[in-house]
Amino acid sequence: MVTNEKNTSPILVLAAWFVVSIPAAWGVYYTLMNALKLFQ
Amino acid sequence: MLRFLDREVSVAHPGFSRWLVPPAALSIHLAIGQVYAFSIFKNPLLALKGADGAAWNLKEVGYIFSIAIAVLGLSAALFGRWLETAGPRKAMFVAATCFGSGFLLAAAGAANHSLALIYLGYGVIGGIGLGLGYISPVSTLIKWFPDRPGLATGLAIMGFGGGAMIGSPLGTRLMTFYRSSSHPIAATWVTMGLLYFVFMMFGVFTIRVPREGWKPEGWVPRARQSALISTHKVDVNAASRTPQFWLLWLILCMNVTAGIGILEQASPMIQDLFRGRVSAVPAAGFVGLLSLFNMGGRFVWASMSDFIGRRTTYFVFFVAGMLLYLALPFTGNTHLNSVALFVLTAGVLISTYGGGFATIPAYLKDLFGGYHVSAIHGRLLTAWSTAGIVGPLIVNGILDHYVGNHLPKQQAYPVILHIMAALMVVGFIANLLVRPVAQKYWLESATSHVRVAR
Repeated sequence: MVTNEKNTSPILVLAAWFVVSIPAAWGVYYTLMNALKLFQ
Repeated sequence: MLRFLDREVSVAHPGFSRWLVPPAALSIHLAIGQVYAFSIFKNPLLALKGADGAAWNLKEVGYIFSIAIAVLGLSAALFGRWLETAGPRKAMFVAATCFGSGFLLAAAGAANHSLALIYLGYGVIGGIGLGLGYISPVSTLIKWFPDRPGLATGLAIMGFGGGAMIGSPLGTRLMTFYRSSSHPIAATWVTMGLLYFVFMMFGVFTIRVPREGWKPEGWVPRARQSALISTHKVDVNAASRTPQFWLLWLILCMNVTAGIGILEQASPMIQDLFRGRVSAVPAAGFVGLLSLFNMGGRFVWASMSDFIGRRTTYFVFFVAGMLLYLALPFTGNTHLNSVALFVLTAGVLISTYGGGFATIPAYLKDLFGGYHVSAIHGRLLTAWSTAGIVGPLIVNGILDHYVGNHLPKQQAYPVILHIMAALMVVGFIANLLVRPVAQKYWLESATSHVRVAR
């Protein structure tokens, strides 16, 4: 039996993480900037 | 056309990377986590006037969030079983449609000054999207990561904590962008509804379920493991009848009630305990810092639970929680007077609050197996809805008593926080009582095989 195995490209995996990391990083940055006011 | 949503169509091909699944789950949780940033719309909604000049009051506007959270718990409990048969892709699609269209309907409500439409849109329809979206990726992640279930569910549920961090600046900026339009809130909600729908569709297209019998390459389940980690399967209805389910319900309820005790009053608490030293602006920074601890705790504690075990993780939460809730009032200006110590203590406490949410699906998987874990998780989330009512009731009830009797508000906090410490003791005892699930609740292997193959 022939199995049609096609490995997922690591670039695709990186791109998928990129899609969710960008808005998350923006949110964390914004929150961190606000949080710093506590120590100013 | 919608056949691509079917479970059979979403089965992964050989060679599919399981590392594509957490981003798919994150896209859903980062979107629906927006609900925790709903408070940014409170003042703009209060300022809205109807054609007759009437305005809404704070209580009426407050109900929007309460309805959304109540429907979250209800829909997670009601639709969990359907999700297990329909598959994660269909459930995520319905969640995206409900969450996105809920914003659109609420926008129509804001434009026409109809609170009923906002309740129906953001509260009920959006709430269904919240509940379905919250539980939809859980069992799929557990099946892809049988070697690290805590890490996998921690990653997704961390997204729910992070969603508010995106939703808050996004909503604020959009309202500023649309400030010159005739309906800034409506325009903001239409934009957010569309943006979140598209973002969630990324998850819908990316999610895959593993094919029958798949396991990570080279992974062999440990021959000897904790007695609490089961190799059997328990149906959602049978699980709800076990003492273990109700002990875990109590564990989650106690952990969340105590966490809400801090989150609910974070800003006024730091200002009251450090009167004259901390004003409203740095207090807002403190709230932001807590959300970072909440998000980080979800990932760190859930991942750690893969190594130290779920039961031990909750023991850490309850023992540390008990000590830290007792100690927290003493960091104020009448004793140690240390803002840094107060912030650090509250941060660690909130990290265990987030960790409690993120570790519970893996605890359920340990006890009941992965077969119906999303559905069981859905039912367990009623503990969250209960805590959402009980936590603020305790805090506000005690504060009202002190204010009503002209007693210093500062003196109310030790009482509140020591009640939270007592809740930690209840959680500790419940965790101590957790035993493996009795054999009478297990699914027969033949039945479970037929159902799993469906």
